[in-house]
Amino acid sequence: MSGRTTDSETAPFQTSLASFGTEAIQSTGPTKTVPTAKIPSGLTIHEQDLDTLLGRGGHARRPTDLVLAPVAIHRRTLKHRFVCANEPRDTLRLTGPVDVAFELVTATNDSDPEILDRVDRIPLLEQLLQENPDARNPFRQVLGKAPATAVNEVEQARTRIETVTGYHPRRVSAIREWGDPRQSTEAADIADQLEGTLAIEEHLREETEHATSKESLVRRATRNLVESDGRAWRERYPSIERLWLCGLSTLSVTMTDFIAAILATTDVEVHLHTRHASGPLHANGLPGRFDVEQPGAEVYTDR
Amino acid sequence: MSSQSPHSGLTEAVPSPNCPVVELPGGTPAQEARSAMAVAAELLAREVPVRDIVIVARNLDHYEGPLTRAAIRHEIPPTVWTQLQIGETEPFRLCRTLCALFDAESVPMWLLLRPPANGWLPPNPTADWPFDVATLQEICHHAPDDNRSKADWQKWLTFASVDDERLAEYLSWVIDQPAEPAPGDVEEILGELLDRYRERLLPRQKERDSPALLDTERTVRAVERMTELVDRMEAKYANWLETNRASKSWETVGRMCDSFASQRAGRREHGNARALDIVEANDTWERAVPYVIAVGLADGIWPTQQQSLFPASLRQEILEGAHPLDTLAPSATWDEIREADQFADTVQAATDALVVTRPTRSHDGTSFERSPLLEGLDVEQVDPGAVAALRSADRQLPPELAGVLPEERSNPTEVGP
Repeated sequence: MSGRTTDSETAPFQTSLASFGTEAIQSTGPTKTVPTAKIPSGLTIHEQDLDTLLGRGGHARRPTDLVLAPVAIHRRTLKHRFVCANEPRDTLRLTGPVDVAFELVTATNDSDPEILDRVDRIPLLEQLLQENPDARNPFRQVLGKAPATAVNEVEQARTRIETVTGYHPRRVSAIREWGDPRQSTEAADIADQLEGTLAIEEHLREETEHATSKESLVRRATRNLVESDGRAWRERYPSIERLWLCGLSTLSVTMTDFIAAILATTDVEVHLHTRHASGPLHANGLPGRFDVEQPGAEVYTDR
Repeated sequence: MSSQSPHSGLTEAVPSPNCPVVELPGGTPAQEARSAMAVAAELLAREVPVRDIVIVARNLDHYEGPLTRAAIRHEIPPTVWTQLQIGETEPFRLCRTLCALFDAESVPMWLLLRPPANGWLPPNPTADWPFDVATLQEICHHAPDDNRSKADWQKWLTFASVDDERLAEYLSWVIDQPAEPAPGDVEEILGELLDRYRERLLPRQKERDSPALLDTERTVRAVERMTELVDRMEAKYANWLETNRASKSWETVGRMCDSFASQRAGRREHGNARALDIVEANDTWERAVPYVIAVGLADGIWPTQQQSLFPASLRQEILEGAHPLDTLAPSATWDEIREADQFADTVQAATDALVVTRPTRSHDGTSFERSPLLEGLDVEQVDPGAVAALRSADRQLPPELAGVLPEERSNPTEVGP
């Protein structure tokens, strides 16, 4: 697949579908409508092709390529590849998405944002599940036991809802619309997890000014970009021409919204490097995920 | 492909390898680990540099033990690139016990004496340090069973004529520590102890360790990890105090230790150029290694069925991308896609040969099926009996395996009896 990188439009969607096994996908969704949405121009998908990125090495006074690899060991592997190829990499800056979100948020804020991590959240969750029936009761239904005694399971469900919806109003209602007409226990389960998670999130926000998760900081950065029409980006990354995203299996809606905001408010090209099995899944699903207004919006932000 | 198998799509999800693949089935995971390590030993015997070999497991939680034990059996020092169970290490226990000790009004003698047993050292330790555990046990044995304040224990020791300068030095140090620690105290007190541990105790441990330096390896990782945690705890504690989230106490610091210990920790490694790398599959992304040995290719191990509270039918519809669910992101943990990604990375990392091993039964006798991830691969399968012979003391090499290994250097005519 090396070298076959296609700019925007529907081509990556079609080719990827073929590589995943076209029949399998078409047969599973007889009612599936052909997506009218397209991958935004400026976004290139590279299916397991790192050569283009490796070809970006070189000497430069300031980096032109920002490389986001969330797993630290993957950044190490990338550095190692450049060393092995005896290739300078002054042109590249290797970092993670949350670090970039942090830098963008601090570009427009006076104070540094604080982020709750899991260690912070667990005791807070325990406390608020005890105190707030609107968060506790739905999870009691799903788990069949007192949620405050099963905080890790609640945290896992909370994380999953956040990955899938990013608390975006349109996406939250998509799940509600799916569940409402159904009378199944599955539908009740997801409704409870969704409403319980939304209640938890609301209470967390009452409790603290901090970003409630790393993803939440990325959404804050996304909204900043949209609101300031890319000012934070221009301040922080004046020399950056390309953004690379590598090594991901799951591409949360928070990340796709972040990409959407960058593409909408800057001149930066975005390159998504996908992995073998999940790549077709993303290429297939991306048009729909980009077809959402107000990237980074949350049911709480009231916009 | 209209198959409704739970694994549909997994077969297509694995790319063609760049080299021959040999499959070694049979045994329990522990025996399987020994088969894998026998292959590594054979490669080393054929003068393949150790950095040209890597052993890969999807998740090392269950394979770290069997693989390291098998490595020791073959006298190969392993470097395990995995999350460390920090809570089970001495540096963690040292810090955690001190928090409990500082926090308590009155304590039993055994608790008081635990830090010196876990590697507590004074600022300028003489050659007498550390305490030998027998001395500490002796003191504990003679002490009354009740709880007392630290000052009372100090008096008791004098009264009981326990004449050990080290103990006196330790006790006055404990009593001197602030009852309500400032954030800086956390780093100063615990961080310095860890520094002394690193300087004084690690070299001693290395001397006494087995040839594989397994304990030292683990302790080095633990000291590094704990030092980093103490840094993070200082910042987090400061923040909690500022926002009135917690009381200024050692109890708070102790609780924080516990939260970090229950978290899946970041990877820590102890660079050792002569050791065999044992890694998790996600770490093989975009790597190129001549000989890759992947373990656990059984259904239920790789891939595992992920537990999810997310309803299967909704998951399926999100994956299919029908509107308006197409605005949602599927998670790669669904349908084992992430595990297929990681296997694809493992397959592509191998440049000269890929050896996959799989157990056929668990310790309690439950049988394991072959992983569906192997289905699309062109594989040379070795007979389970021949795999058992590979594990034997004289390491009989099955021809399928011999065919993909480099030439034997020293004794080219003898390829197993």
